[in-house]
Amino acid sequence: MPEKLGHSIDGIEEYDNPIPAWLMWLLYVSIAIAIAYLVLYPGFWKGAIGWNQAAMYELEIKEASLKYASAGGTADLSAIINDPTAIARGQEIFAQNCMPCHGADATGGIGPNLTDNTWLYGGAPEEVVQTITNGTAKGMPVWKSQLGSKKIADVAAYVLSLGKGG
Amino acid sequence: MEQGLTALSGAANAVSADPPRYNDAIVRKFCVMAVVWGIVGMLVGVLAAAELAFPFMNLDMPELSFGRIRPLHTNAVIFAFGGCVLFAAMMYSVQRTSRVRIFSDTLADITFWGWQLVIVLAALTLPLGITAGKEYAELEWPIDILIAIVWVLNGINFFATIRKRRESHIYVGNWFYMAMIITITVLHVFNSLAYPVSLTKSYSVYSGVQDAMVQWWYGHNAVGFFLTAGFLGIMYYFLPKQAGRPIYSYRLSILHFWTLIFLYIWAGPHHLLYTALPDWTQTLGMTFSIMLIAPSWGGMVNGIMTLKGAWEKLRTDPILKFMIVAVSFYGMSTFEGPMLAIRSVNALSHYTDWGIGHVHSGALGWVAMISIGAVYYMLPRVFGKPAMHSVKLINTHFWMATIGVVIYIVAMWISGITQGLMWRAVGTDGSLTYTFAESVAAMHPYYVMRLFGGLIYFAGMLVMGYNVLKTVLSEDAVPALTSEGRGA
Repeated sequence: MPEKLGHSIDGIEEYDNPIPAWLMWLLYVSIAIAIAYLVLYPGFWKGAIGWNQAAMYELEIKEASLKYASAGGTADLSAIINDPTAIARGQEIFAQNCMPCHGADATGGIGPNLTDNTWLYGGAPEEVVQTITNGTAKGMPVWKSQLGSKKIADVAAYVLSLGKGG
Repeated sequence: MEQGLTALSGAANAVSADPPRYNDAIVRKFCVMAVVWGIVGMLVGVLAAAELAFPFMNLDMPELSFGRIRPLHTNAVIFAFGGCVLFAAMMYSVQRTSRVRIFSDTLADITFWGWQLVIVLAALTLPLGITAGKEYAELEWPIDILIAIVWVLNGINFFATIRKRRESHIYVGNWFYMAMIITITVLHVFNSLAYPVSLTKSYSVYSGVQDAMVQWWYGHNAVGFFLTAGFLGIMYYFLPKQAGRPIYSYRLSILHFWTLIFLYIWAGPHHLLYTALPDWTQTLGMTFSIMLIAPSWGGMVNGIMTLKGAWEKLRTDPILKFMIVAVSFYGMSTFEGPMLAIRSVNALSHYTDWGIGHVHSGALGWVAMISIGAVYYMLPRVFGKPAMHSVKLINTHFWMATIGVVIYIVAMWISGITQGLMWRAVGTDGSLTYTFAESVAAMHPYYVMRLFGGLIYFAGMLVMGYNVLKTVLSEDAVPALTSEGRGA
């Protein structure tokens, strides 16, 4: 029988069993991991491997821009503008992303009306693409990373198709 | 006043050979309100879950909208239900483990009525949109001051009871209560410091990332000291009492108490990984979280191993089942927590439903189950009844709670990981594969599943409410019951 402490508190007695060895090892190993991590990463000093959050962000952006530089492209913009399937794709993207501000029929709301012939930031295909890609100071968000250049070209085709009919 | 209460509660203790004449009236009040607030808080939780699955459930009323109902739910289950259980269990066990009546009946009553007032004020202000905007600390400054006063008065009462104890040893359960009282006082006061601009509006004295850091120093240790240390205090008294077995290891309780207390307070920054918080602070939060596994598991091991040699009792005793399953969920969620605190895991899990699942495995699995077990233990004893009205219904409640929490957690694991993966998915041209709205739509089946699990857990609380009502109203009485005679 394991040893008991001499007291009984409200009928509760206590053994003085040794702490299981595996639990002590778990404690030691987790402390060792914590110390190793504090040596490698910024904690008590800048960290042995030179990692930091800001540098990680820069690196991932750099890698992504290299990886995706060749994808998409806007060389064939004039062909896309008049392509009915691109316009249909653009309409779908518009419904998912642009509708909350520009309205389901694109006649405006928070954002301006896109069906008239007034273009606040230019109505040429390149200008429309530029406005969607980089946003505007008045509140249009930047869509570059959310949509990518292909989807942006499709949306531009759809938006440009709206002005023509009316 | 004091003598009147003594006479009242004396009935249950009349035959005690060594008559400390405990104040059980205060325990009765807290036990009953714990069950009431448990039912109310979980009902609000079910409504919040229903609104996420079926948005029309908010009935287009601002007072019922998710943003207001959600803090009402968290405050009700943590501080109303959990708080009442804590006060009941503290006052029940500190008197018995110290073999003295509580230091002041008046302070105990002030604690009870003050705490109920806090709860009612919370239930009025939160749906009206009056909020300080800090998670788990939403209540505005006048209520914060009331909380501080009530909490400190209860602390004085508790420490004074320990001081006049007639046991030379301070029992381990009481160490945990004392750590909770001291730490929660510091956390609540410093996190709530604010400039009031009107009776219902204030601004935090901290700004920017410092405000975030103070908030999660508070938020994480509301978990660590209120929901962990406090309920470990409950476990250390009620589990060995219900099992009729000695605590497995005294030295393990010393080691895991001090390591838990020392390490927990540093871990808050893991809520702010990949934010404007400086890298070094983030790293500190992560490493201290990893070191918390073994101290947390110390509590689980001491609880489960206390049952060594008495496993067969689990077959017949549903109260013990509640306690052991609670301790098991405690072990599971204190493993999951440090894993989620690792930077690369957190990059996937943060802001997803995985966090909600983790919180509920701790809250429904650990905190609520140990609470329910303790209330089933205390209730017949403080009301002078031979037993709960129906052991069969306790067993029914046990299975409803267990099945409900498992469904809830599994739903949130799947939806959380799905969300995390959808948010980071990138197409061949580098653009995001899914819009945010698409990830919301993908959650729908899991939100329905979560609602279903929550409903089962809530229905279990209704079964408890019925059982408690029948017990309290029953004509049976145990004149021979002494409040400290059933320890063997």
